[in-house]
Amino acid sequence: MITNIKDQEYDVIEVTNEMPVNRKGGVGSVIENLGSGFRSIGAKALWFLLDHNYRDFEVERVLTEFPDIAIGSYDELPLCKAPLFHLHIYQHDPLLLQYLMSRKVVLTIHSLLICEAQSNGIDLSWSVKQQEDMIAACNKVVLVSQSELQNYYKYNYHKLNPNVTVIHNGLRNSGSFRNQRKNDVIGFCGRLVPRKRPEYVQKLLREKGFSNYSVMIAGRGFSPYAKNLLLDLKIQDRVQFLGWCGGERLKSFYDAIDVMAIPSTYEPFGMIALEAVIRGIPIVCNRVGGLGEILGDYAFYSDDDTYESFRGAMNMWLKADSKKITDITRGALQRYYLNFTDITMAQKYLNLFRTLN
Amino acid sequence: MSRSISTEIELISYYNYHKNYPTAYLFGSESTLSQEYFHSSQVFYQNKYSLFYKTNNSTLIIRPFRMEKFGQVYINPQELLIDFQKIKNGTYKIIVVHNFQVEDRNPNLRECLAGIFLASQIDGKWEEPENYPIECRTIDTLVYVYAENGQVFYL
Repeated sequence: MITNIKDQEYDVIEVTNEMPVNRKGGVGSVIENLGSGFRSIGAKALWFLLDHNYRDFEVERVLTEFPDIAIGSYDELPLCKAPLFHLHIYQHDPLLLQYLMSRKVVLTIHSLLICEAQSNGIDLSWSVKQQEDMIAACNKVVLVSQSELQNYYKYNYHKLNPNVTVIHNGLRNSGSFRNQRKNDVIGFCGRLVPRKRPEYVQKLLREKGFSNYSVMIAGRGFSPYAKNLLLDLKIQDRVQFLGWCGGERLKSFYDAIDVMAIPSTYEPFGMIALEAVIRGIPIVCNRVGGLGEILGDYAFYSDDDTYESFRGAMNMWLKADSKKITDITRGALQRYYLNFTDITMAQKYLNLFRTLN
Repeated sequence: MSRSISTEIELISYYNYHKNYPTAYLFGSESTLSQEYFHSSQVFYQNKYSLFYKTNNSTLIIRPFRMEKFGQVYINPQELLIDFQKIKNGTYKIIVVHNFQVEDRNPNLRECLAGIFLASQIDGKWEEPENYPIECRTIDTLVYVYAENGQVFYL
């Protein structure tokens, strides 16, 4: 085990495959905000990184940038002392579950893989089975939205484990809210997978009213479909792919866009919506997953997940006057302060841990 | 401007990665690249045919470069080395790609990280970097080469 820990005892051991370094998905962002939330309320968490994909220099970066880190295998977990384990993992050694059987374990599911498989039209059966085994093995399951809870029941996961609750994700306040941008740029952020419908924002560029607009896409992945779409729509010079963005680049992206489009058909939570909300960026989206729970009435919603509905919602945003945009962004920010800060999330987890101790 | 030379084939942590599968051949994927910002002035601008050279019969060097396309500037800030002694026999296409496999932290949104993809032929068809698991965007083809018994030849 490699570690930089100084203390012997912790309130919780947070077990994860990913830290906020070269983050491949949303888990790294949640870890970052859970960490800042715990620090704010004085909770002591140890971050145990296992079954990760980091290379040596990335491991070094993790150890340098974050305190209370241990990196090792499941059989080294006993070297760390805490009353319970909180899992965020999406890949693991099968023997981990055996080890955890006699321990108190909370599992947060950041995305139900059975829904990921269906919404992206891909086979994840092996990973789905792994996730189901974890659900069955833990004391308590946490889902990140009420919508995910409905999916949990829909797929009969309550028969695997009926002890389930919802804790929404939270985000640290960066204090970067500012008034409306007028850059004529539509933003899209996320992995370019089918369920996020990245093609919708690009199709929009050919529509009446959007001839002066361009699109910025921040996210991993490209595809033959993406290449052909640009050619078919003749929009190669109007779509800027920024790649896998982190740090200052992500901030530049948010500064550059007028609106955030989230046409996803499945979104377990929607961290990207929170990121836009704290910066005063209006959101056009489907009322799916956590998005409706985050935004309430303060977004431009499409009626369903078709392109036509998304176009309708984008037109509502386009025609909205300055006051309407201000009302929407301020209203969304108010909801953020009430329900979705990193501190709120951390406090809810700590309360949950106490019920299990 | 050469900062360092990569002496190993850069292996990305693809979940379905297999060492001898051609899609392993993506160069310039070091995540250390993303920790610094690279300004255009730091990187040589060159004609694409001067971007590469052989140091001996088995090694191809890709110089640092910037390349403009699609209204953006694709930058490879580091000299890259492709050691054909580690690569199986066959014909390859050396493609400049927009590197989607490494986190880019450069706040200049017009600039993007480039990578080099060594495309092989599978059943007579060229691999495309856009396909899984590479999922990078083709920017330009630099050169076709043939590898045999650890040696590399221009085609």
